[in-house]
Amino acid sequence: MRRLAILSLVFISLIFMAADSPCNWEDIKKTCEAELKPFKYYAFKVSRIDFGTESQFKEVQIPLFRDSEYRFIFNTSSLPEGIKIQIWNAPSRFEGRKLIYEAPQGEDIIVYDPPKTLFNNRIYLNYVIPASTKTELDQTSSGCVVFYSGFKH
Amino acid sequence: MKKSLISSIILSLFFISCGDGNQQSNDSSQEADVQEEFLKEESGEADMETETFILPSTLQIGTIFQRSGIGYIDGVVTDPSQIDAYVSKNAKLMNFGLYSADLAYCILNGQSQKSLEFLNAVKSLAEGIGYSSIFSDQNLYKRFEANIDNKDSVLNLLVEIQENTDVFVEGNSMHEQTYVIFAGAWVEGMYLGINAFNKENKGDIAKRLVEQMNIMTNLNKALESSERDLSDVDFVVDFLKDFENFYNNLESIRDENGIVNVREATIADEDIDKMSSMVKDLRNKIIAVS
Repeated sequence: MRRLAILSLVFISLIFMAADSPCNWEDIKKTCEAELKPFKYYAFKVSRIDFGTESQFKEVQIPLFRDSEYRFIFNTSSLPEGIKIQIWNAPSRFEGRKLIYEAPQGEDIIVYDPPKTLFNNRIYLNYVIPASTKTELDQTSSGCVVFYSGFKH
Repeated sequence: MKKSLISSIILSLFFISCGDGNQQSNDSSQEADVQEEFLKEESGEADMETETFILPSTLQIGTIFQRSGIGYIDGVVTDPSQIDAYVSKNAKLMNFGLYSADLAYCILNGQSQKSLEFLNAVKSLAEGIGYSSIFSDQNLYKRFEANIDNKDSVLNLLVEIQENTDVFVEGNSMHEQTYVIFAGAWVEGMYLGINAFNKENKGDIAKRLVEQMNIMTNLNKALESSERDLSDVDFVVDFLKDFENFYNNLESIRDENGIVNVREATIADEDIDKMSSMVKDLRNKIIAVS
């Protein structure tokens, strides 16, 4: 009986935690959609970020097709602290890679149309996440970046 | 003084010119290094641990081949009335992807009646895999039917279906299912591209096929790392791995330095023939799976 009560408490806590989740990606995505025209939807990716005592790094490969033009939209509004968003022509392990774009800091919505000449058949998104400035980390130290993209010919 | 000025200008131009040459040389050398890095990625030599990736929409794959001169080939798409033959979840998922690619192909080629037949097939398969909500949103199916003769409107609705699918998958953490769906779509995209291959468009189609191979590398990684039980469709997983190895060993796609230049790559006719036969064989096995 006691075990059941504990399990119920854990379950209820999880429900409340989910309800308070700092990453409401569906609403965030809607704000990105408004920036998409005249491009057609291509893909989106939600990257969840938990700030910690150490800096972190996330890399996402985006396949692209020649003859197409793309629009990339980043929404960082749910993040409690700033991160660096970069676009590279090769993965991070490759020393000779070239930085294609670095998003301006302090903006919640970033729209970028990469010139066709700057990419091959893929590009690499890098999220450089600094160590948190907070002394106590809790649920409010988390959030997400929504990457939303479109294409046209 | 005048002579000295002219000499200075000439000298400056010489250095600027040399500088441009060095810059171009550096750029092409850097480009070759990046291509080599991609090659390592594709052959599995490179460490991919920190990297995740996205898979593109089936619509864009269809659109890409369309721009290479693919016209509608009668009888090339699968039979949309065969959907009841698919029993297992993986068979339904994979054919949901395959039929979606056929739907995109029919729409792009203005085949209204066929598009409607495939829309019904895709909708039934979506219901069979628990994805019916992707059509119920904003009466998408009814809007599709009502606009079936308007290619642009229907294409926009197809994009909406794709986005609804991605949202549904993200919201329900079903990413592993999308790998199976995408496998079906990818194979059908290749099948349609290979069937359209002829003397006139072979250069362009070959470049598109090379582009598709990068996506296959990602797909293979996703399927290999999947915790989903894929035993009933393991022939697809095995094939894709073999196909990737076959492709990586092709000499015709590389330049004299062994580098695959995606923009310039060509595939020898005999290699295309072999790829064609492999893809056709796999595609027929997928539509026959139950």
